[in-house]
Amino acid sequence: MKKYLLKFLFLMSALLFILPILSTIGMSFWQEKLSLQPWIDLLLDTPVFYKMFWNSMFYASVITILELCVATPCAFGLVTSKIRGKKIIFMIYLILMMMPLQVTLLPNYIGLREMGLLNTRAGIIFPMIFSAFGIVVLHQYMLNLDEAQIEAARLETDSVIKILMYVVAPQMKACIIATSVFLFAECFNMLEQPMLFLKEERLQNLTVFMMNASGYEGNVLFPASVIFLIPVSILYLYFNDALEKGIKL
Amino acid sequence: MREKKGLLFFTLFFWLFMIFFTLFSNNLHNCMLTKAEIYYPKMRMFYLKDGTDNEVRQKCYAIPAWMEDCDLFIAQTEEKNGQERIFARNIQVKLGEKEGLFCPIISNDYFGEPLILRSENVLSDGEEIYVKNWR
Repeated sequence: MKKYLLKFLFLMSALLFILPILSTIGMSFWQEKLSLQPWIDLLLDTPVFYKMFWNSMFYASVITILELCVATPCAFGLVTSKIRGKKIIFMIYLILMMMPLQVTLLPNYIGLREMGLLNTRAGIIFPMIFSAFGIVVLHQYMLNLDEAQIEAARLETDSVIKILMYVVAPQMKACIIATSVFLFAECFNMLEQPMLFLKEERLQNLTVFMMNASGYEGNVLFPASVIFLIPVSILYLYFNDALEKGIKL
Repeated sequence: MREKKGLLFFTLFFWLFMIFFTLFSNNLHNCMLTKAEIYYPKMRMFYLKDGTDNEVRQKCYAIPAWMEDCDLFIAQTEEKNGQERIFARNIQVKLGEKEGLFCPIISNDYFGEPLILRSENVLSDGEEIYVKNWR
């Protein structure tokens, strides 16, 4: 009896976690009564939603790919190089990663303004490529790499890129996938940067649309939230095995 | 494996759904609207009464005489959900006596906005419409 009661309690607490998602899905079919009107309002009457959805996809994909291209060699360099003070450099990365986003927003804004990148797609992509998260995660995973293999590869070739591609990357597949999924989710959900760096609606992303949803006619917020949930959920479901492996640092 | 197959099917469905609606939502939206034809009234010379028994010749906007007894709607653009759309607005204007095939608009608050000549369904004030011959 006690066993069943515990099971029931755990089930209830699990349900509590998915309740907001279930209620979002439920509310997307509700307008005074059960209705498809909110979906019709969003899909047929709010064309700006599509622009922002594809903008979100574009920003998240491009930033994830470019950040991986920057972070992987950077982390590899930090692990394998024999320079003094690399621990201090890594500490600086750690501190940067721990910093709240709001602290770096203003310096980023000033930098982008000086470079003339405000209100451009590059203004969103450029600062995000160099975030510390990817480097820190990949660095920690690379500490467990088989050094003998890397040394053996060094005897075969001088090219660091070849060593990265053919020796390091295959060993780090799970970690790279896990990092990519987290980076994609982070970029897909970003709100402050587009709000601050972009003025034009055609460049904004889906999170800004959700924030301004009350300004649009029709009950578009709930169906938009359901669509907003899907791309990242698909990624998590596809790569959940790699995520589990990749997170075990 | 079966789970992944289902997920693959769902992913494919989701992307096709998003691409389809991105490309065709505007056309689908237009299909749902009342289709209307508009008419840009031109100015013509009319004989109008000046309050006494005299008549003066004056240039006024002219509408087809058969519209004299109908509810008059103009087509107006307004922004809705980030896009410029066309709406039907009911207007109350004072009409003069018809001359031949035309009738003069003698109200001072009409400035030549496009009039809705005919529509698929009965229009209501503020209804969004689809105009084929919009300039």
